[in-house]
Amino acid sequence: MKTLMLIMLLLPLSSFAWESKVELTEGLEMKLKVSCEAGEEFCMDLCQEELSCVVEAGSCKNCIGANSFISHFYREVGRLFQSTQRALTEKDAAELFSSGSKFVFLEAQGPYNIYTGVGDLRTERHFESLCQGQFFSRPIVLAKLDRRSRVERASHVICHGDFGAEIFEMSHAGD
Amino acid sequence: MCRLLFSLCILSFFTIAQAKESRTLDINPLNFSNRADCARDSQKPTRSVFFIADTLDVGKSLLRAGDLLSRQDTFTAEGIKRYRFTLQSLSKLVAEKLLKGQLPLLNAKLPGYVDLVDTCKDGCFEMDELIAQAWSGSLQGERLNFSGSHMSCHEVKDFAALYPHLLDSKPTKDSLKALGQSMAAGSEHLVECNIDNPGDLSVSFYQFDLRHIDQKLWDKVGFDFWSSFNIYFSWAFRHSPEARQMALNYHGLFRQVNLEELSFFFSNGCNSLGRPECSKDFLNTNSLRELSRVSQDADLAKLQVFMPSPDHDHDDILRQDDGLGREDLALDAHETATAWAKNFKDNMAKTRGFIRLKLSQSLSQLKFVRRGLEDRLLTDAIRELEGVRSADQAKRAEAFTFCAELTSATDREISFIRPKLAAMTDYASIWNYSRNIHADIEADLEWSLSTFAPQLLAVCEKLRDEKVWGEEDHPGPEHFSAWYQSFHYKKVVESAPTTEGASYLVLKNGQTGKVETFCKSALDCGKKLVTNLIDLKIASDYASSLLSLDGQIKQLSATTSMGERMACKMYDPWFQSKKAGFEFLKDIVLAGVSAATIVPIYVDVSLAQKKVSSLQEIIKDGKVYYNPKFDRRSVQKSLIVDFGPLLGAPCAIGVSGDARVRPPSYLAFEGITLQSCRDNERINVTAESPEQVENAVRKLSGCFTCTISLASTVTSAGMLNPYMRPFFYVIRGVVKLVSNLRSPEDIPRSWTVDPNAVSRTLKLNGGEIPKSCVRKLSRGEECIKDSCVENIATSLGKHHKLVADSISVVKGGESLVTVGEKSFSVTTPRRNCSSHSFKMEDFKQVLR
Repeated sequence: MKTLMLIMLLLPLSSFAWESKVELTEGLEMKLKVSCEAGEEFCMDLCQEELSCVVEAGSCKNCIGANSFISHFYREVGRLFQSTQRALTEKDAAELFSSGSKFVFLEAQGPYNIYTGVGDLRTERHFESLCQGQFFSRPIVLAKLDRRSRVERASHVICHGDFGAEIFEMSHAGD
Repeated sequence: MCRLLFSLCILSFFTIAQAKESRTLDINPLNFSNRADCARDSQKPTRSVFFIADTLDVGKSLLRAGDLLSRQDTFTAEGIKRYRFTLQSLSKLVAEKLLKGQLPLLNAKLPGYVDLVDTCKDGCFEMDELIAQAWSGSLQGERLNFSGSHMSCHEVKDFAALYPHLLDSKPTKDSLKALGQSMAAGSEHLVECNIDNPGDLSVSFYQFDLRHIDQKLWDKVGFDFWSSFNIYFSWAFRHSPEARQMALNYHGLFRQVNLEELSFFFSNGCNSLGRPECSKDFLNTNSLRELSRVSQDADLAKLQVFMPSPDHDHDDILRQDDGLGREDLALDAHETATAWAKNFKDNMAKTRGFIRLKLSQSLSQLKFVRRGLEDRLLTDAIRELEGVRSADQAKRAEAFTFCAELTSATDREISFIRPKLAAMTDYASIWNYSRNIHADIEADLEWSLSTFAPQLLAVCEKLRDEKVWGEEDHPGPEHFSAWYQSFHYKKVVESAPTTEGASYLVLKNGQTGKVETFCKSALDCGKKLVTNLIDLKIASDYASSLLSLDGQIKQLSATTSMGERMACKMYDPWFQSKKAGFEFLKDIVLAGVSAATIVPIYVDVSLAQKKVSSLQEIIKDGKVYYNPKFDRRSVQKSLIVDFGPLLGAPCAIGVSGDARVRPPSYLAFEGITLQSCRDNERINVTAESPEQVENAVRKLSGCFTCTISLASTVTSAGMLNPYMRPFFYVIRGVVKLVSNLRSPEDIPRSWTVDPNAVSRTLKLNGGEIPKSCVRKLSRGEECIKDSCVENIATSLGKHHKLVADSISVVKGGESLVTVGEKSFSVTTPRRNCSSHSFKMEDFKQVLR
């Protein structure tokens, strides 16, 4: 019985396809660290490595301080900015990052959020509302940059669950 | 009173601080100028600027980054210090590279630059490339060569009495003494820039001075210098290898900072940062001085920018013409300079936030109404309007208010919204700014201005022609929108609830999930749409001036309004001088003519300052400029004929063609005077269409005077021998000349004060500024009785940046110099001590 419970506990951890985490380097450059399960093709498609990849964030011009889009985003996330729940296939997800487009990664407590208080639970909740069902936690919003490194739109959200991560398309209610 | 208390506080503070060692400051001399000279200076570039950097948002971001890195201790504070150090060092680097010709000026002489300025108004990739090439030295262009120059940087902690030129036109004994005392404790008020200075974590306030610059050459290139400096600084902050080195491991975060919206430059004094122009942008940006006077806790909604009517800016400038032009920056309203800067930047951030919110809200609602209803709104609104003939009282009132608001908003005289799409879409950069939130803005505007407004306006006009509304249909102000009330009733009362009934357009609240009524009828929706158009117009007017749409740091051109007034031709600094010369010459000519006439005719002709009666708006290259329209009178004339000598009657009759000019009552006329003036001249003090100015009704204005002068029969000028009359004119000419030239504010006068010289003078005169020294110090000179002492004191300042407390001169021996607790000995020649060149090593510290 104990063995069965142990197997049940370990099952979700051992069955993830891939997952991701935003990290900052010592030089305060942001990156997305992607970890893949052995045999999972996502990392191979993304960076020709088997177990992990690093996606470097773009440098977002004017994103810290008085940025219309970023302030609009943090105030309206979960309300006007929503997940479409349309998931990308792993192939499309890998192509998203390797297509040459640059992104910045927006999190509830990330360095771009200068609009709500540190540890503000409401922001956490609004962010969490982007991720539902099986993939319910740790949302990371991908905001696409234009040619001049200015933030263009919140295009996708990475959501995590017990079975790894998925990337969903995002929508803005006003459009 | 306020200023007096402020000075007293400073005085008491300095009494305590006196024992400390005083140092000289590497700052420019202070230029005092009266109104006319300040106006003249406003057309020339400044050599001293203030720089405010808002570091609060950078701090917040660093705090979050520290969390991610699990580094909580001093990460944020160290990061802010590094951010400030980067700003200080990079400003100095960019300025000195430009001054020394290591960077070309960004002007028409730089190949390809002008074309790019025209094509990418809000910055573009190609412009970044061009600047990168210029930075690397691979582009030719105009280069400066101010050898020996540099830019000094000081952190302004406290204004103390270090900026008397921003408050007064002329140096006085008291202001010089207070300045000297502030200098004595200079290191507490004005600190040389360095990384270790902790200060306030949310704001930094600096003074940058360009030192040892040739003034004549500077006047030609200074404006190009500052505009180039601004552009290079923004670029270098993000892209230059030097900035990367300065920022160390914080560069990854710093280069993402919205530097342009978190920083602000303004000139220290009357000279300008940018060439003054009579444009909406220039006037609006400079109206930001108002932000320095408003307390953080005050109701910002009362500021000009928050007013529903956007045409206040030129009203203000037109009405200012009697002021001194020395805007009160309320420097003494806060305990420290940092507190002042904090108040200013907070107000600036709030104002910018308000504009962004207005832009965003009005665009969202415009889109919501248009996309939600499209042509249905138009047909329904027309139907509701047409049905007004048989409608009940409430519906009739609603139709009336809708038509009144639509007519008012599209009225040419009010000029809120031009019915031309071009005028609105010229603000291309604003649409670009908002496009990432709201797509298809032009389409929404096109529909609103070219379809919705004209079609409904035509129906309103038809109904008005049919006289469908009677007096009883005119509703009270509470039935109108706030903007309409503000404009037509001058005060706003709470709006009455709109027509009860079924919801016409609903909005689902995403957070609560509830359905809310957005508008209750087509006309109600129409009113909301018109309000949004007005909000959009106001916000976009200010957005182009206050938000950094062009990717440059905003700058308040000068601390006074003289630049705007000169550019809009509201003030002529030479007028008083011209008037004085003209009147003197006139009297000399009349002196010659008067000898030949039998009847004494006293003519007075005086130059009248041209008055701007209105400002005509001109849209050029997407910018709104103002073209001043003048009141045509330029000469005031009056004439007096004294009939005394001819008729033997004690009567003189005077006529003038201007109600503002009374016929002169010259000395000899004593008696009873009857005078009648009529003024039918109307001055339009609003920016309206030029036609209105042209068609202004002009009727006869002037004065008629009759003086029954008993004296005239006995001693009046009329009885004077014709040979004596010329003397009357000559004397009058001289008296008037002296009086005209004495004008304290309108004949250009300036004074230069070297703060270091004042500091030395004060120390070596026992803590007092002798009255006899005021004139010398106001010429930028020292005022120390003994020229040998003066030479030693100046040399000590030059080589060691110290201000001597006392100097005991021993000619042909060792003179003793004391500075705070330090002492120096200096070998002093027996002869020619005052012209001796003391070197750095001549000053030997004496160990006590």
